[in-house]
Amino acid sequence: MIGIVRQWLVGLPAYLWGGWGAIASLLLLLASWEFASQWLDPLALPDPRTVLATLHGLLTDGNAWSELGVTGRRALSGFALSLGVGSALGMLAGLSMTAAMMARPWVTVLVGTPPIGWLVLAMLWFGASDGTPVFTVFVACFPPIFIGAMQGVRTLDGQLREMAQAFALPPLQRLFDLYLPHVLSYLFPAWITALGVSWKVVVMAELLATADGVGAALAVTRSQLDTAGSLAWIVAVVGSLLAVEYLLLEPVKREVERWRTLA
Amino acid sequence: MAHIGVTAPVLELAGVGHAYGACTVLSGIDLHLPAGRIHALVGPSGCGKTTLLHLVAGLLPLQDGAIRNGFARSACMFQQPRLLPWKSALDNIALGLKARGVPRAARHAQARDQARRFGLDDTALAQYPQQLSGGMQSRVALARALVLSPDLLLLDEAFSALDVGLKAELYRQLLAEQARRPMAVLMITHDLMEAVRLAHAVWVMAPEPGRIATGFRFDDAPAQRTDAQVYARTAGLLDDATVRASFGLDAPAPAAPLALAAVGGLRC
Ligand SMILES: Nc1ncnc2c1ncn2[C@@H]1O[C@H](COP(=O)(O)OP(=O)(O)OP(=O)(O)O)[C@@H](O)[C@H]1O
Ligand SMILES: [Mg+2]
Repeated sequence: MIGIVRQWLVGLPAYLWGGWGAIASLLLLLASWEFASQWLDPLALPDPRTVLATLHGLLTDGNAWSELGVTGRRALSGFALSLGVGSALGMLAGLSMTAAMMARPWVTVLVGTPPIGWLVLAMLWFGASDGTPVFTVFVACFPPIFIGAMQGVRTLDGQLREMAQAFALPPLQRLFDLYLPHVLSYLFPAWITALGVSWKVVVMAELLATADGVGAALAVTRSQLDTAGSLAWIVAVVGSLLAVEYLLLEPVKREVERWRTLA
Repeated sequence: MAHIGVTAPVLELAGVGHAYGACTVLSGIDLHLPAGRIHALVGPSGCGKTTLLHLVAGLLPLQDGAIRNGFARSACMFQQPRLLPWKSALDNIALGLKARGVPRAARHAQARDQARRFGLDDTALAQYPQQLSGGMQSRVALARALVLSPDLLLLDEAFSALDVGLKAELYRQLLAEQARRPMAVLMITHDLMEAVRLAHAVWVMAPEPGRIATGFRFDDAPAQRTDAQVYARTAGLLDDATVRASFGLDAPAPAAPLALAAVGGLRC
């Protein structure tokens, strides 16, 4: 674990340098936005500089940080719950053909139920508490993680499984040396997908159900017809998602999957 | 030859058969492998040698007959290397030791020791399996089995990916290990000369269904066998009508077949 943290710190500069392409493409997006805003009513689409100035204002008066913190806490709690429960249950389901077959329709039901439906149920169950956004995020993140974990276990090479049996690997070693390294290459993409889902769903849940957080702030800007303010909040949310994904998950993934790229 | 006491462990197969679905691949296999002995299984491709080895290793459920494995510790080398792609060569070799609960430093030391004897240096040990050559991978797989100091070693074409020099070196290593302690070895090979060089008994299998067609005993110590002896015995084996039939070769040459008995082989 310490090793992974150290590798993460050591690898960060090279990783960021390698991200120039991504940054350039983001700047291109910004440029098209700027271009489009010249032709549109500022009420429909304010130009990026106005939005960034609004965002700067929100961040410097200190308000935005606490809202972002509240939203981040809810999104990450729901995501972490899903990550733990979904990964564990998915891996267990992958071990048994019967469980996998039984789980499939449940997952289809989960995927098919719109998040807004869960949100309404959650509001009935949890009211205006943190439970509503956290639960909604949990349910929305669960299917991709569960499916990823299940697929990962099911695709493990039978020859390696046989080898582990021949060498009498005890259950814990089987988990950490055999299953997890393989399953992680299915889990990481699933986790990244779920993280994106969690960010979207939490804002939606807050918009409808809570009095604080970015979603609630968006509700206020909407009622004031403050497009620049709305866009500023959206940029803040997307920016924080990008930060979590590319500064945390992606480098960890690279380190854990080093064996794959070296080969 | 080492004296085998009555209590010495044996591997005993009686009437073992196996079918994959409706397809019978093995039937009526009898085998008696005592401690300290090397038995080789040869036979045409697809005749069920690997299946038999997996049955002995307990990796396939026994369908027919009986297997009595009196050995406390067996280790297995598969036909494919089957290394964990996410672990370094060193960690792969130490895998079985880790399973036995040997602490990290000790198991790495033992694994490194075994690897050195197989000509794997520290650079190779730090690499992942995909970065190793095929021959290196098979040496890692063999080291992973031998580092466990098994009483019964099961080898499935262990030496087929190696050059002649390495083969000779690993034969020497295997026989040296066997001289130290009474390890029993059941090895599958496609190389008759390898079987004749290493084994105390060579079992020739015939296909459809896989069965033991004939067997030969060589009672001298393998380490003492000369190249000339090995060539003569291999030639004798290849002249045997049953062996030729098992491999689908033409009938033996009409010239008087070299009598295997004259070079120390006994049909059993
Ligand atoms: N898991 C399996 N399911 C169905 N059939 C199998 C399976 N494994 C092997 N067979 C069949 O059983 C027969 C014997 O296979 P086996 O692997 O034991 O042969 P082998 O003697 O080791 O051959 P080779 O020398 O080529 O390694 C083959 O015809 C093969 O097609
Ligand atoms: Mg085989």
